[in-house]
Amino acid sequence: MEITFPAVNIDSTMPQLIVALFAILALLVEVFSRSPRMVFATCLVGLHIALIRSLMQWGRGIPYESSLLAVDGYTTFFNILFILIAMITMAISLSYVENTRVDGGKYYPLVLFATLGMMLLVSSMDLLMMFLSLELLSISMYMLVGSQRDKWVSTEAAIKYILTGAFASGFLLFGIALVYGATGTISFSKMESILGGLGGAGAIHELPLLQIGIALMMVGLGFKIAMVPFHMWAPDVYEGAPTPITGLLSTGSKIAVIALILRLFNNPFIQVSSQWVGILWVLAVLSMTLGNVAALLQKNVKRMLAYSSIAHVGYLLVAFIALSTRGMEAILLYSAFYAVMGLAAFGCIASLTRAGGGTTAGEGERLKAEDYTSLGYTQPVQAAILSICLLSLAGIPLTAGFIGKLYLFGAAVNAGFVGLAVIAVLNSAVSLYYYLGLMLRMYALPGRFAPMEEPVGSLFGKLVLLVLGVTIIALGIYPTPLVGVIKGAVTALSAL
Amino acid sequence: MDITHWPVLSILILLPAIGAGLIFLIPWADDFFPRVLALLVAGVNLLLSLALFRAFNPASAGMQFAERRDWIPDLGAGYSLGVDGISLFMVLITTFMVFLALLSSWGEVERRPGLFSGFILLMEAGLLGIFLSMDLLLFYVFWEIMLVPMYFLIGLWGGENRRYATIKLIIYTMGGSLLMLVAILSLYFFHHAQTGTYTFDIVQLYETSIPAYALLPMGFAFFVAFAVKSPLVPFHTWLPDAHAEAPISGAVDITGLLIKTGAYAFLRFFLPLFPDFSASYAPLVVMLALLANLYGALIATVQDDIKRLIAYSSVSHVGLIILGIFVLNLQGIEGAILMMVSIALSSGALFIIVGMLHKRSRTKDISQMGGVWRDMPLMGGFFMFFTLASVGIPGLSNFVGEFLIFLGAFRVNVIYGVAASFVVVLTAAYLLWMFWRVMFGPAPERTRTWYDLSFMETVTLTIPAILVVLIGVYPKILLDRIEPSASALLVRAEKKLAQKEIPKNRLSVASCQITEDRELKTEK
Repeated sequence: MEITFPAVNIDSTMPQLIVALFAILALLVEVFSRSPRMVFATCLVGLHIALIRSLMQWGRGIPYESSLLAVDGYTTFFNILFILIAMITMAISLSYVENTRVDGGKYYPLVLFATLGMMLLVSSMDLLMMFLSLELLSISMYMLVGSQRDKWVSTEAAIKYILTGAFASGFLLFGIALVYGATGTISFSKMESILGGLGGAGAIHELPLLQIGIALMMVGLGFKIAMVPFHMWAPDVYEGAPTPITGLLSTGSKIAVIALILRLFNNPFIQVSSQWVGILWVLAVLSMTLGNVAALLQKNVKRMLAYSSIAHVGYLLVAFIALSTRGMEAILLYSAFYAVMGLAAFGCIASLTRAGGGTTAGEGERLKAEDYTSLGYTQPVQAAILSICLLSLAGIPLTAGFIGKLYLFGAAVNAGFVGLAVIAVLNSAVSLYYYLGLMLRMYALPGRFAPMEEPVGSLFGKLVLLVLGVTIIALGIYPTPLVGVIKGAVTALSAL
Repeated sequence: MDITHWPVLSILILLPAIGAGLIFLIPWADDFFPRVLALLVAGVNLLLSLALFRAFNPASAGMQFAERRDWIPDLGAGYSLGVDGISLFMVLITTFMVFLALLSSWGEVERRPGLFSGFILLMEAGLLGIFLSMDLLLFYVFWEIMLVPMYFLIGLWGGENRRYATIKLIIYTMGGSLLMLVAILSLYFFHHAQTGTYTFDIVQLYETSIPAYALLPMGFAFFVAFAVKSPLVPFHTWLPDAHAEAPISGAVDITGLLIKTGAYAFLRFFLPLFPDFSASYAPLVVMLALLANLYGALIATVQDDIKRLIAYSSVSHVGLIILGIFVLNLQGIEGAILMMVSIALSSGALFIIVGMLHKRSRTKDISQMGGVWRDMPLMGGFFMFFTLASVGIPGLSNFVGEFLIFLGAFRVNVIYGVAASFVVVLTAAYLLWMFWRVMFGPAPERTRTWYDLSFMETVTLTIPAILVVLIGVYPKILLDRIEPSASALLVRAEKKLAQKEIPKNRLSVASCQITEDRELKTEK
């Protein structure tokens, strides 16, 4: 194979480069200053610069596409989203890291590396680049999950995640090999024209290698987004990981892979996408139902949210199956909403951690549902924000979650999948039970002699949560600005 | 006060919402101020709605005080409010009963009364939103959001069995309304397919013709959502639990208002959107309504728990209201609206009295009461008054509503009328029997004296009593304003039916009735 080095457009890939640069810089800062706060500041500065750079790219509308990377409206939208996710993750991590003896010096740069992985993943334009960015993301996440080295649950979670993740990568890699074998190219755009030239779906049936390859790739990617039946690792890993990382895991890394799947089925595999509708229909129903039913039974709040995030992948698939512009808008919108709700929910849990957490599972953290009884009267800020998140996750109107679900289910109804929409709304009704149940528990009237408890959580952490809570409500009442942005991003994806 | 140029409907909704927000967000030192604030907000809202009543033009059938702004232009959803003769009285009864509920629960809530009033205000905002929305999505937003304060009112202050009651409430009402969401979305896309515009505006959606294959599932989804809230008999089981477990009379009053939203939604959305469905399935719905009427009365007869008894009497009365709506003529609909107002007053007052009794006796068991008249003649008097009102004694408000519903029923089918009148006898029987057992039955040993009504309690009960008499004697105030809107509703449904031209025999009854009504009107 002839290898040519493509001309890299430094200007267009600046946000990614900045994140990479500052991640390395932060590691150097750690070496010389040994102060986690300095590392934190370095990372945050880097993210801010990258954010400003991405925002500057937004309006310019000059898509850049090499054989490896595409920088278009779609990528820029997700770049901004991932940078924001990283910033929120960092912000909710600050006091958590100090309270639970996580090594902040390595933790924050790893968050940046994971973010870089996400950013590269959505802009990947060939299979190799895709695999490399996914590995960058995954390996950073493995280390972050295991970063509480003195807690055995954290280590256990990391080992489980690495084993299943490596297995998934194996599937993905094998799938990539088969797809390459069938088409003779790893470039998305070439693949699209080759498959497009075959003459419709009928001819593609003649390529079993391609079919198997795509199926194996979907298995690998399904693992990463914890779609049923590849979800087994998720609850354990979510429970064991440091809480802000659970948030990152359930929002950022999932959204990145879903954005990639959207690109795959819109560009290289657009010819086969309709064949996947039936399978994805079943998987969506399974993900929603299993996620919600299992969440009903959980006693641990992190596990409950883990199962609920499996259900939310199912909701996203509902709109994906529509295979329409409307569906893609819905997915992008809901991803952005879900990022805010998920991070804020895990941020609240992280913020309730008391200093000096022990070495056993959950010591110092509020994880059991009973720990949340009457929380609204002792920790009013966290309880209020968590309530907003729960209402939003449940899809109650006047929160972002409702608008998101409206778009998701609207896309399904519009494409004629009314049955699927009905299953989805019934699942939403089931989910109300555990979301509102936790909320009711938090506001259970305290007994007359309930022990008083000092409010925990830093002022900075609370402020961040407050901003997130207000954002959820504001987007739920007036989502129009974000809808406009998303329309632009989807147009960019379809234009490729 | 000239309020015609104010965005008065928005103020009506926003004021309690802001009040609730203040109560929740400010860390009040004690519970006195939030309660005063709540009462103040509810009072201002009541005055505002009275001003609305005065400024309302009785001759017009259209939407008055309409407000319209874009909300989500991408979806064609608008922030669109309006009031007509049908919703006017729903608004009035809501503001009135909320004020009364706050007043009556003043001494009754022992734990966190401030928070309690906050949730009541939130309910008020949601209820008014439901009654005033002229946009299907906006309506749905209020329809669902209502459930959250309801859930908390029962879940936090409820009786021992509250967990069960809240789960049942959520599963029933949410399951129903989420299915409706899918039907709303289908309707929205059908409308787009026919006209090319995306809109949730209810007046435009009225014009949508629904393809035959989708009519049954969509109509059914809407029907179930509204029937659960109403609640019509196979979907009613959440109501007695919710009523029985909500310990505070004020909360129960609000539940009483909540169930009016179901009947209202039938009128506002179901009849105009699905006139063909309504017409062809009207006999079936009427059967269900009659069944609900009879079943509620029979079950109420055998209750020992006084709250459950009144809850089942609500189920029975709701059957009558639905009957009035689905006989599909002017008298029936007018009667149904009048009945909704009357029941909110009479049952609401009965629940308040039960709350007062409960405060003294600490029991809901009728056999533990008895001999109340001897201790509390004043309360006994009010109790008798509202019981008689519920029974439907001429001169009191329920009578007018019942009479109009019977009139409508007789015009469609004599059997309907006879069956409904039969239940009235049963209603009289179980209500009077309850009254006798509580007031004159054998008195059990008492550990303390049951003091008679305080001044505040007397005032709380006098106001609804005056209104019950007023509506009973002079229902014209209401009927004048209801009639134009109600007949416009029927005319619109008829027009849509005429466009559809489905086999005539299936809906001959309904459309004959509608034509007749119109002729009657022109004769006048």
